[in-house]
Amino acid sequence: MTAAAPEADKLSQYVYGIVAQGTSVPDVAGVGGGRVRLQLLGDVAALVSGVPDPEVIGLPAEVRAHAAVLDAVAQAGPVLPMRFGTVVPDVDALREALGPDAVASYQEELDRLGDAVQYTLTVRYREGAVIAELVEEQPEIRRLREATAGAGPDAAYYERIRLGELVVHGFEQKRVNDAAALTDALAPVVLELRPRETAQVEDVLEAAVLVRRGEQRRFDNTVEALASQRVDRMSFRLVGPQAPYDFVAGT
Amino acid sequence: MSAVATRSHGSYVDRPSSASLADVVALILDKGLVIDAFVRVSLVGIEILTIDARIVIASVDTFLRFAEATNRLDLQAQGGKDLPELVEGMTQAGSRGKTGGMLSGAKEALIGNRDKDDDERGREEKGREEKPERRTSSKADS
Repeated sequence: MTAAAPEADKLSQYVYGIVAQGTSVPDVAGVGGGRVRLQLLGDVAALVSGVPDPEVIGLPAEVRAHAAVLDAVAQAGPVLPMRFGTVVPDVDALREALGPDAVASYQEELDRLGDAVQYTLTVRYREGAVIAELVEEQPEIRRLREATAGAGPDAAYYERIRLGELVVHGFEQKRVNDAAALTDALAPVVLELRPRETAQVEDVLEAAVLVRRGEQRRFDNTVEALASQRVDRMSFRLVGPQAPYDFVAGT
Repeated sequence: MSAVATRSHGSYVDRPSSASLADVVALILDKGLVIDAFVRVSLVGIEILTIDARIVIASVDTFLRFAEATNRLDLQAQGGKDLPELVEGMTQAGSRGKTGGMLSGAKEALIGNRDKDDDERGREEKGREEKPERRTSSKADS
């Protein structure tokens, strides 16, 4: 914990998150290069840094700084991320905004999430492998594939659209079972799994998962095993451990 | 971003040591505790990223892209050895095809170029602080 420099107190304060008192601040540059410090708020503390010009927050480097600070803190202990872009005019405003009730609820939340970290798991189909399955399984796709083979870009337009539509629909049908199987297999090694809305045809599952600190290795091994069993059809991407962005209240 | 588990050799899981900008944005945007009245930031270049990418799926462009991928597919190669590598190559080649803009969906399309630059720069200049921004064609940069 470091004492606030007098000038830093007068600046607007960027608020990263809430931590337990006595949490050590990692040596990571804050938003706009500011020095991150703790601001005590009763039984908990806020991670803050001074920002000279709060009007311009939102640049890529600032997005990264927000996450870098929170993720670094999360390696060692519990942290409740604040919404990106939370800026208070000064330290007093922060104290005013977070009264005893807010502090008590943060304390509860820190206890609830204290023993856990978040990972983000993204599983995507290998496009060629799944299309090959669909060609094999669906006669209509096979027929349209042959009918449109070698056609120029302007020829067989509607057949090509129909073919693409069937293939896209085929991905969607496969996703239902494949995503459920992954979710079931992960259930024993995660505290919670929250799927994000999938946006792409090739997506199988994108999920934020909450993992107990003591079970990170077991979780990792499980993901590895799932990936190795499915290597022909899917690619796995695992980012973390991260701060529990997806699991704080109000998210 | 950090990745503690680095089992890069012999692993079937991609564990990036630094997440892409798109990853970070998807991770933090609209999440976290809110202090009433104090989220008042102008999200420069970020707002546009929240446009829902779902509309892309049911578009003619997507259908044509998958029709093309299906036509191009070499079924014999799919049954052969070294399947993952072949498939990977094919997927990547596909994503650089003429319908390239749509291939990775709206989210990536909107920040795609910048994000790639961002990652490359990250590798080249690891440890250095990022420049606030640099000129690319994307509107999201302004």
